[in-house]
Amino acid sequence: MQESMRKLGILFIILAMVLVLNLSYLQVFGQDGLVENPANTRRLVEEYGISRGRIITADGLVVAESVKSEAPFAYRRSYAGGSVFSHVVGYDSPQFGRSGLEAHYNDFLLGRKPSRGWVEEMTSDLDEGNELTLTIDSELQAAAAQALGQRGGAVVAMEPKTGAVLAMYSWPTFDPNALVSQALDADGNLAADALMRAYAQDPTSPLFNRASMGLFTPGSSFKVITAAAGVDAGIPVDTFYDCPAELAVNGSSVVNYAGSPDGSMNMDTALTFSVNTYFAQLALALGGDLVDYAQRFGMNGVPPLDYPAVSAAFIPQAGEMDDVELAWTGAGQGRLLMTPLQLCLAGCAVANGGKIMVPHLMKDVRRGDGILERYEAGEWRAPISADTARQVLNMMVDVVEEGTGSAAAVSGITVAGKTGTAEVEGQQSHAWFIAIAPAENPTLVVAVVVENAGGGGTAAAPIARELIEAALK
Amino acid sequence: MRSRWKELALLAAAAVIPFVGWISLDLAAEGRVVAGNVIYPLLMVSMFLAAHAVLRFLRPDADPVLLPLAAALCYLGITFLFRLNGHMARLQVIWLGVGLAVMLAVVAALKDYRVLARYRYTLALVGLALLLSTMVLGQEVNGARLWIVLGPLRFQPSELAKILLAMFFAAYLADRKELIARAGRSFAGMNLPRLRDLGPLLTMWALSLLLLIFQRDLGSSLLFFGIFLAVLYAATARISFVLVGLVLFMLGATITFFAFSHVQERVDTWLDPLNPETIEDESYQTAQSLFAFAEGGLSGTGLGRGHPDIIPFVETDFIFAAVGEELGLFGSVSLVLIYLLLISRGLYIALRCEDDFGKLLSVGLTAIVALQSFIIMGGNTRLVPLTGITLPFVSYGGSSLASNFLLLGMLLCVSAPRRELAGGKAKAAAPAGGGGRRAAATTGGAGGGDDARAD
Repeated sequence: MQESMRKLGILFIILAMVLVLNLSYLQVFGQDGLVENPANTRRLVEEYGISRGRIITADGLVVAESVKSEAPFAYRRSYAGGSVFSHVVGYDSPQFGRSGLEAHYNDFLLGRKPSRGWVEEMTSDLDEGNELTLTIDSELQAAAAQALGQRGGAVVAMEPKTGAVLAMYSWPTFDPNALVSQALDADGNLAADALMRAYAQDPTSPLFNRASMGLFTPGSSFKVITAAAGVDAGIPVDTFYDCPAELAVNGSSVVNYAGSPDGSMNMDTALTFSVNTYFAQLALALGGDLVDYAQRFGMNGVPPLDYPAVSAAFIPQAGEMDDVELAWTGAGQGRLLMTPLQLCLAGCAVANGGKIMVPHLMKDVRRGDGILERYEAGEWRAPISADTARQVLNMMVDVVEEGTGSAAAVSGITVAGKTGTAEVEGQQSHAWFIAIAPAENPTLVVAVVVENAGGGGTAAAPIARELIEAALK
Repeated sequence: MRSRWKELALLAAAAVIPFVGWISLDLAAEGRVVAGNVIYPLLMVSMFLAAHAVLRFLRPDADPVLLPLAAALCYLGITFLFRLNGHMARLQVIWLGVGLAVMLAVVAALKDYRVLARYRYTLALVGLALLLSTMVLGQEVNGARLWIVLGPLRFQPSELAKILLAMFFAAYLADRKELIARAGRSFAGMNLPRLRDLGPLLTMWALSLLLLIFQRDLGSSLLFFGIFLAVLYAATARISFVLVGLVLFMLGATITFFAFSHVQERVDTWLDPLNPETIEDESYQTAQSLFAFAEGGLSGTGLGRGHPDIIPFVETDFIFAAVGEELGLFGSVSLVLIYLLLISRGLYIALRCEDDFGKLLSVGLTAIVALQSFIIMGGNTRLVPLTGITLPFVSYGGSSLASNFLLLGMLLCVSAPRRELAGGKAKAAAPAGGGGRRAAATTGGAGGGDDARAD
């Protein structure tokens, strides 16, 4: 009997070991799958029990704050900036997750970052988050929204010396307050569910931020990069090409826009009047260097903006293009795809002596009066020399003063710019404009795209002008 | 008397739990320590100290480890109840007092536990009557029919019934173990039992199946049958009985699985609790329990800082999940180890006991704690299908706590048989110094011999 009781004891020890092994699996090794299960509301209850930090523009406008919510959550977001800021700020919803800066700076807004040390984290309650200050200027953002109006497109404005994004607006946009509302409809379902479905099915994609993700053919606005590549590669501004209205290339041809001058001209004149056949010849002279330069400006890579939805602009590799496509690429047509953000960054290189600073939306993170983290400006790329940048900038001044970009001129401020009219098959062209102001000491770079709106000089340049006026006047 | 000093030292160590729990809970809930709430840890610790003082008087040589282990479990349980449901916690403090009184009453009344063997059939009848009462009068709570409701009182008869039946098994098998163990013929290295010796086994099997069908609860059915098998194996040392028993139980369980939809539902939610189709309904509890454990991780969210209140019936069936969430793997494994200590102490008492009835009684009572805690902890962690039984000493429930202390009182009795009388004699006879202990052991042995003759 003693023996069988000992064996019974061993059985109980084995049962306890099985329990411990299973617990170790559940609690430590196999934990992730359970924590992330969609039916696990613990994280939601936890996170929406925290008063998230406010999001404030550089000039002090509160664009997002936490307010008391209906059960089961303690708090929900309120967006005073509404749809003007919705793409930048994003939304924070227990049902649909997070987007925009709400997603990117989630840990900061929840107060989990920067770390406060384990002693404080264990002893004090983490029920208040940190405040995020943006580089966005509310007036410039409002001006961008006002200028673009109800036209599909986007506006990006940056400070070239620091990489600070001053405005980023995209239309169509969405109503973030309706999306995070916990109100129920007549059937007792979450009212925001139907709204989210409508947004998701809308062919104009209102949830899609065209400023950072929209890929459009750049048209002539790309000539800024072609010109910069040429000058930097040793083809001086004073290089004259004979530019017919139609240039034969390998049995096909590159044609100018109606009304462009023809004959022999230098790069300055060609950029000022956006002459396709000049940049076609420049591209053929550059060959693979054009692609290399485009990539040095950041194309074919995702710009390191502190924002979760950023697309890479695209240029085909030299080996994948024949001479016809290479010639057209120099003029901004072909398979090229550009985002407004990437064009703005290219403009920043021209405006900032050839260097592109890392683009950013965060200015600092605060808790009460203390600044916990401050953004430190850093260089991202240096695609061209300072000398090249100055020469390209001078040519761009002529574009606004004498050429296609005259609609961007502002009295009393020297504006540099370049238009783009990207031909889209079967539809009206996309209108582009890239502006730098003031040219003597640039503090603002603006990139504008308006979908299917016609010429860049007529549809996009005035928008850039309004932003320059809002920022510098 | 040395045992009681050990007990006091261990009780002092366990007393840290409610005070730390009170401070952590107040800090988590209020951000400051509410001085007035110290009344509850003080009250609980005083209750155990009072029980300890009475034990000094009643049974000075009883096992010194059992009461402190039960105290640790109760402290932890009530601390978690304060975190989950203040009303239940205050009731549980009252039940703790009742439970300790029951324990002391048993120790006082049972001068010699061996008298229980004489009433074996009475005990069995009362136990069966209690079980049948739930089948006939039982109210369904949380899918299982385990409760008798008498006015404002809810009573779970199976809590008491399992102790009564464990006593009966012990008495019955202490008499017949020789007969059952020796008979039968050898086959494939195993000694197969004779058919007529399978009678008790088959009876218990039928009873446990009845429980499964009428109480709609696999857990208590498995528990009753498991206790019986544990005592049967301890008595006969024949693994063939256990194997035959387990095969029969599986057979019965399989038949009921196909015959009753509620059993199928339990099994389905056990096999796939995270199925998106059932996760908001049938398997909600199990899934939320698993989420709680996962949330706890290694060191837990901290007392009062998790969300165990999401789990339905967390105070009774899922209190282990609450421990896992807020105290993490450290807490949940500690709890498993406290039960293992309690179980090993129970078996230690069985090993040291001199008479067969006492041995088998300790085994049966220990098996109750072992199997019940395993089944519910395994149910919470999806190791076995979920069942609505309580975690001994920890879960909320008056009848459960009182029954557990009754069980503890009986183990204390077995650990020091007739010690007042024998101890008194030994003390008088032994010379001063270290001889007292040996003398006590010798008289204990003689006591066992006396009983064997008398029975």
